[in-house]
Amino acid sequence: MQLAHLDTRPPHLVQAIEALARRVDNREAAQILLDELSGINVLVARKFTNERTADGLLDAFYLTMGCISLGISQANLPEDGDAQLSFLLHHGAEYVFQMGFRHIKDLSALPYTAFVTDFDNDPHKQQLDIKLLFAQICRADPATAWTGDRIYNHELLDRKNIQAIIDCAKWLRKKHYAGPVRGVDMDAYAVIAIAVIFAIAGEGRIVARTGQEELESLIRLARATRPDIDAGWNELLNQAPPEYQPILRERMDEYRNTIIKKILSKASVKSVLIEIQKNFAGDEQNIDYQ
Amino acid sequence: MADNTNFPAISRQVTELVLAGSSDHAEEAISDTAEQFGDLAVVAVLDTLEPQVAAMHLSAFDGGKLSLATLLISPKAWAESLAYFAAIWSEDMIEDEPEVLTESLFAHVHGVIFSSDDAGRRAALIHEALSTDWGTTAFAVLFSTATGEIIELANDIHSRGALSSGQTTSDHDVIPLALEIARSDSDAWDRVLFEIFPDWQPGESQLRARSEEGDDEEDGHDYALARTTHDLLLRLRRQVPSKSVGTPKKGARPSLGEDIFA
Repeated sequence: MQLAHLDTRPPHLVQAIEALARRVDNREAAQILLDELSGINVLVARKFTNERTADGLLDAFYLTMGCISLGISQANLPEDGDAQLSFLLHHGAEYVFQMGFRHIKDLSALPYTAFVTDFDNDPHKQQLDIKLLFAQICRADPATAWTGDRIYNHELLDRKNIQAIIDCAKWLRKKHYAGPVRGVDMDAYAVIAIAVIFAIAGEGRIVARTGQEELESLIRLARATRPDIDAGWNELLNQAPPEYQPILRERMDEYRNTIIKKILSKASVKSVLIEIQKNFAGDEQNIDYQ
Repeated sequence: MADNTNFPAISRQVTELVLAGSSDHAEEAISDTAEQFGDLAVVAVLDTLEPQVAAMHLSAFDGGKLSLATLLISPKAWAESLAYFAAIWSEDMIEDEPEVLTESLFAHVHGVIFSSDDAGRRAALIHEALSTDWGTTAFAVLFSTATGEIIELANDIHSRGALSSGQTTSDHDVIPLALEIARSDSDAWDRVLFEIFPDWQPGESQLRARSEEGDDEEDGHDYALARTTHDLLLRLRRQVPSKSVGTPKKGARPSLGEDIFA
């Protein structure tokens, strides 16, 4: 019963307003809330939809509903309309909206992919991202169930993971054996892949960027000397700050039976190189020759 | 009239329909009222409408479309509603398309005043409208579109009296309206003239249209210069009564405004 209820939950703002309807002597609070909500509705319409058309105002109404609901949902309140209402009345609808909107902004500041480009810093793109997330998460129809808060939580977790991966790749770049790798553009997965692949040699140096020749000599070296892969990886893990170790370890577990096996196999060097370039190193591999 | 207690309900219904943007349905409710309770009931209903609501409803029936409301609204209620006619004008509209605004104002005023053949009603409408500041400004806006003709007419009326005047060199649309005012209410006529020509000293200075070349300086003192249509539109817009939105209600917080996106 509890679960079924959770799955078809109306937006938090609706729950709060329903709680208000049950309170005695609610006229004044209701009037203030109504004024605040309609004010926000107009501001949202002016900024994001269109305050001159009925459609624009209706769209803004859904967005207002969702953004305030998001603000309430992220405030660690018990799942209870009355508590949500008290929170809303205590802070005022505008502040709760502001909280919701800040959540959206914080979320949009986190990376969407592990592929970093200079374009990410473009203010116009950042605005567009905010608008897109706002429309995607904060769209709540009071008459139906709303899952924007869950989408938000999910997305937040995703993006935090991606952020950690990017941070890890940045750290690897900084520790690159031939001096820090410069440049804004970065494929974080590829950087980590290169570092993990080169760590099997057990030489204790961190490789964040590579070329074809270095890969070839790594493959030849590995086939000739059969190094202790785990020892090499442990060396890398010991150098890495604790927060990046799980990321690297995950990658190692993934590669142990795939690309590493292939490197050590009898497959032609060329085919291994192609696979690494295609599926692992990608843009982080210098182009030396064809 | 059978049952007076129905009227508050009807005016509430009309108000709601008008505010919802459904003038046609509001008009339907009004004509139902007329059929059921007679024209006087409609007058009573229109009298109890808030002036801004009445203005909104009337402005939906300019020119072409005829409305019972324009026929039956009491002169006083109309004069009050006129204050809100300019409420939807923005500064940009006044700047960009003054002709459109003036045209719609003319269609409205002309439509209401000349909707009936009853001279008494026309005189009452003019009298009530021109006893208000905004009404005077509204008429001044209309006449400022034909300042030359109005000056000619004013001089004519001054020398020959309103009743024997009326022959002008132009057949501009506003002339019949001006004549109607001058003939029915000479004080009102003077008030409109003063609204257009604020510096006019009767007997001392002559009325004059503002020349387009801007050579106002050369012999300026002897002439009273006309306000432009644009100025008068702005004046009319500024006279729209506004409930001060800023009055903080008890317990309400100061608004964050755009900062809700900060």
